[in-house]
Amino acid sequence: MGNPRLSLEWEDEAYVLSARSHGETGAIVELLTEARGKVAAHVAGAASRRMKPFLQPGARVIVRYRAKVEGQLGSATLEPMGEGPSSLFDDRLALAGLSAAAAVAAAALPEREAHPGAFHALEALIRVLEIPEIWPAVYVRYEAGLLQELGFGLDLSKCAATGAFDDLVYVSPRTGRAVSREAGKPYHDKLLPLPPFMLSSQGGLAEGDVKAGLDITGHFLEQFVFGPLNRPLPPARLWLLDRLAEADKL
Amino acid sequence: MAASAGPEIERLIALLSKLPGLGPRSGRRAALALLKKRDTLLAPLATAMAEAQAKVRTCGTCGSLDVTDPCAVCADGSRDGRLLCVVEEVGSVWAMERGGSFKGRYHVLGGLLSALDGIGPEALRIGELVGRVADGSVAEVILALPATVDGQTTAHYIADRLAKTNVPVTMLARGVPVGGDLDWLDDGTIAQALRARRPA
Repeated sequence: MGNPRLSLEWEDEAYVLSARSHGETGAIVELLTEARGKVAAHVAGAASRRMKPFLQPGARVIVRYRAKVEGQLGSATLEPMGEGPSSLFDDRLALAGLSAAAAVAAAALPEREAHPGAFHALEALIRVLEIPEIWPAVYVRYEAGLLQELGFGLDLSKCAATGAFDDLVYVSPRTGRAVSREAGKPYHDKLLPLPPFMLSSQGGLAEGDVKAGLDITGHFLEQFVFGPLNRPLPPARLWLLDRLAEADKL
Repeated sequence: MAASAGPEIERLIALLSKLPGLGPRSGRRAALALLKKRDTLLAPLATAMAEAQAKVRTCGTCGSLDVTDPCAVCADGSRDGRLLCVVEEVGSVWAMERGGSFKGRYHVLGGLLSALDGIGPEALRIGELVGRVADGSVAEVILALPATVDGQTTAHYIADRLAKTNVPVTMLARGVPVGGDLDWLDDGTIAQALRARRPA
């Protein structure tokens, strides 16, 4: 079968990241698959009443992809799987979370490069978006997972200065490594606060933890992913922070 | 291509090809049809287009298109000014008017918030909407926006912005369309319809 990313014809499951109109009836759709990573394809008939409901960020679909030449934009047909993002239509915060997650993945991930971790992280996030108490924390972990997939993972296993495993309360903004309370004390104002939930899912959520987590992932997304591309963080992510702040969820 | 046609005809074909639903081939067919019926079709069409270009303007109140400002809907005293229906584009006003079931007034946003494309509230006529509602004459705002992620994000944003006015904000129902066969509906629509079920 060879390298699945280079196949000219394949079928797979995917999440829709974005869909932009192309011509009168078609669309260029960005999809996130497990085996092939982010893939763009032309979808004919995308403006039809049948297809519009699932050409939304976060919709899960079965993709049948076909291209004539490797490296060129192929075409795809899509079949919906399940309800899709319409289950979140009445939840303004979850919609903001979904939009931000799709926009960050669409902007950060390179095309045709397998990132199964990114696929699974998005899948995990979408599954919990209907649970308002936990999804903001899962969103932070999703972005941390994206960083990991892109090779800029945070190292929160031990203190970068002392090697201690306990009382890790900071992250170095230069290296992304954890720093213990004692070792970080002299540099308190230069280090990023590390919320406990990023160390363990048992960590619990206190006020300010989600914001601290988003500050960490936002800092490293800017520094390592979007900065080198000369691009700002996607507006959708900034809107998410605004919406969470308005709802007192940060 | 119309190699033997003069530049005037070529230009006509090129312009017609840019219209929705037309491409180079159908643009050529349309041009030919117009040229064959110059007196009965081309001349009236040219006159109508020139008049539209000269007279049609954007209504300063609702953002719709008409030859008067305020538009016919905004100026119609028999319509219920306490009901304000918020729509994405002028095409939605025309769709609502086709049905004839809504007797209130409209507000055209001129688009939707789009996180992906970075279209923010300042790019839409949301400030004007808040101004219209704040003047006290509106009793209900009906959000008739698309059932899409962007459409519903926009609806929530507007509802938030209007919360301080204490004017009730409602949304159009989502579910089974009239004449809709369940067999042909997508999973999302069926799920929405189930959630919005009502006593029979």
